[in-house]
Amino acid sequence: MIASTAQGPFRILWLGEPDGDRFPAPGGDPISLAEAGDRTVRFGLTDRDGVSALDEGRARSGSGYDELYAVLERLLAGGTRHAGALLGPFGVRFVIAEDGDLPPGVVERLTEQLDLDRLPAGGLTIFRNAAVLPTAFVSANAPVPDHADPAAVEASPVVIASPLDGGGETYSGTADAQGTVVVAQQFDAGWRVENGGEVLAPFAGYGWAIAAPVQAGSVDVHFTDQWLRTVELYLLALLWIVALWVTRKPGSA
Amino acid sequence: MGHAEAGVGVRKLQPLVALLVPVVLIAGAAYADRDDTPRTFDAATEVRATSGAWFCPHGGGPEGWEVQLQVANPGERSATVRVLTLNGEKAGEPESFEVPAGGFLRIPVESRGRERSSMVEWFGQWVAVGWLAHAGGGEGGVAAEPCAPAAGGRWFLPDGATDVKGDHDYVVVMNPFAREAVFSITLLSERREPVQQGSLTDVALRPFRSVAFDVGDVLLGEPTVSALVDVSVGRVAAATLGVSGTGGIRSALGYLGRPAGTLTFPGGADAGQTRLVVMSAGDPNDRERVSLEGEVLVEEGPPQVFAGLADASMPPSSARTFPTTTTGPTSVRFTASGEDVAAVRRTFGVVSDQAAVTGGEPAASWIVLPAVAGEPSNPGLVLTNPGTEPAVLTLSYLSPGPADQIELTVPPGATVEAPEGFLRVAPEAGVWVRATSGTIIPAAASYSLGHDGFATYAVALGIAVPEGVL
Repeated sequence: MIASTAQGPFRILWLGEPDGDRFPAPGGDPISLAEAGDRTVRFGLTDRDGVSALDEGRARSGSGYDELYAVLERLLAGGTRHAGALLGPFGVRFVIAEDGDLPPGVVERLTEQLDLDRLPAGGLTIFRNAAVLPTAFVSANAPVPDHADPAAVEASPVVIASPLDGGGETYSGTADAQGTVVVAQQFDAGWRVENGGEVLAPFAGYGWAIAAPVQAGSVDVHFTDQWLRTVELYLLALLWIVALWVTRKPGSA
Repeated sequence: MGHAEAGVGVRKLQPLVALLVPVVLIAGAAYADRDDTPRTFDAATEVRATSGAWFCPHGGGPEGWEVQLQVANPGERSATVRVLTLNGEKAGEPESFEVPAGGFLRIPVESRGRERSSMVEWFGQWVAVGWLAHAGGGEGGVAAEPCAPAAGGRWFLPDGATDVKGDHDYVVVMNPFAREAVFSITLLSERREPVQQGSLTDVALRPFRSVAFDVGDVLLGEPTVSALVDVSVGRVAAATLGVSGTGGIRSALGYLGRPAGTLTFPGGADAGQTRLVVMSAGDPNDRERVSLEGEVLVEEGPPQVFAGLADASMPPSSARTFPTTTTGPTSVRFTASGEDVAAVRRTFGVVSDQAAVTGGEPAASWIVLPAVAGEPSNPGLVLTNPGTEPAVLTLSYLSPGPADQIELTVPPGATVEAPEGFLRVAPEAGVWVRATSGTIIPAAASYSLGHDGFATYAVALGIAVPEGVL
């Protein structure tokens, strides 16, 4: 149902009782707990296809996860009615829980959000985020503070965003007007933004994402330190080969 | 077998091992059991709410109506509000306004169409929001009402009648969300059978739209017509709008979910006739009748029995109007024995116009939004104390009202009016009512316009300030 109602890349926020169980497929393992007394939940974040080996290899910590935790804490404590707007920069289009797998009061908290609309679904509790943003976009009117500023994000007008093509370490698209480009991945100094022949160092949009101010024209966002990771991988492979050769059984050849 | 010396050693260790093994096992089991008890989680960090919304199904008219949203900010920070007005067509762009700390703002909104509704989102600081509608274009009167702080799936709308020629009573339903809403309206009357008509069943309301239904189109000639809105998909907010052919309008916000068993309906300065409209929305197959009780809290003296409610009861899935007469500031305290019972108090102005007020429960801090549509005016503010202890109050204006404030004591079981001298200083400003001891229920009950300021009449319940929002 999710695949049929939404196109393009997006993320899913999985919620459940704080028991450490895996989420229903393809939710995978939880990341952590968002502690809020009786409303404490375990949570996970996946792309539309669920958890993959690539996700398993990535660190599940950092400023993005810290901010996601803060959004959940605010939501569960009743501090916002615009949780959809706060989850928008993470690219969260759906919030999903297994039926009966949420602590008392959490469904009510989700239901009272102005920008989360509950969808009928057998066996699952699904909320669709009306304020979702693409996982990589350029926008002329999105407020993108360089620090965590939930108040500014909550009060954001309806954001008009053009998604960028690509994925992984390269994204590209076109800005129709002056605005901001955002890639909803955790900030790293190795990212660069090319716009109008200029190479820009991004800032930490929303305090955690990759963002940069851009002028009208083509926009290209790419990760420049990939060679370092590639070398690291080759070195690791080489070490394995050496280790296997050293520990080979005599005469096994 | 084996080494003799070693055999002696093993035999010596056997009792020790036999003792140690169960001890270790028991200790391990105890530890595991301790570890299995559910851990407790840190309580939610105290978070001040930084955003929210009010839903205002105010309605409107074919032409000449003026509808204003009234926004009060009793907090110490300024608030940003975003206003989106809905009708049966695609919604326009929202408009944003700043409401300063301690300030009060009136925001005119579109008013053409019976189905007109508005959503007010607030950011940064909690605000109280209500509406004030002034009918025009051949229709007259003023209606004032607080907006709803939440939308949801079941609304009780007691106020309605279709037995007077030329009068029209509407149910206004708004869907301010990005998802379609589907709902059905059941009409209850003094007949035993609830009325469900095809045109009111499984009504699909598109996102960011509102709609109005004239209940007289379905059920005509009834002295009481109440509506139950059941939402099967999405969320809505709903209210009733009564338009009298002889001049006069009234609005009553619905109750979201089951109302409290005991509710108090403040009123005052009216012509003396009160009608308590009661709906019992229980299962029609349930044969048990709902028993009702009521008393009138007056200015001086003990509460009086609401004569019409003496030994009264109602069958489920029915609605009925109970009349009584009152003098001066009065409040009706109403108690129903069953669930799914809701009521609205309807009163009438001394010259013309009418008002409807929903019931409230006592609280210590209230915002009372004005029910005055312009000058000349005769503002009124009634305060009722249904408790058993005196309520000591401080009344102050929100800016641009003056810094004046007064103190007032409301005896237990009494209803009083705020001093006229205080209210005349700023009849079109919001008032913050704070109890330093006890609790109360306030309402604005005011006249305005015309030659002497008595042409229109409106009553609006105050808005309780939730704990922790300021």
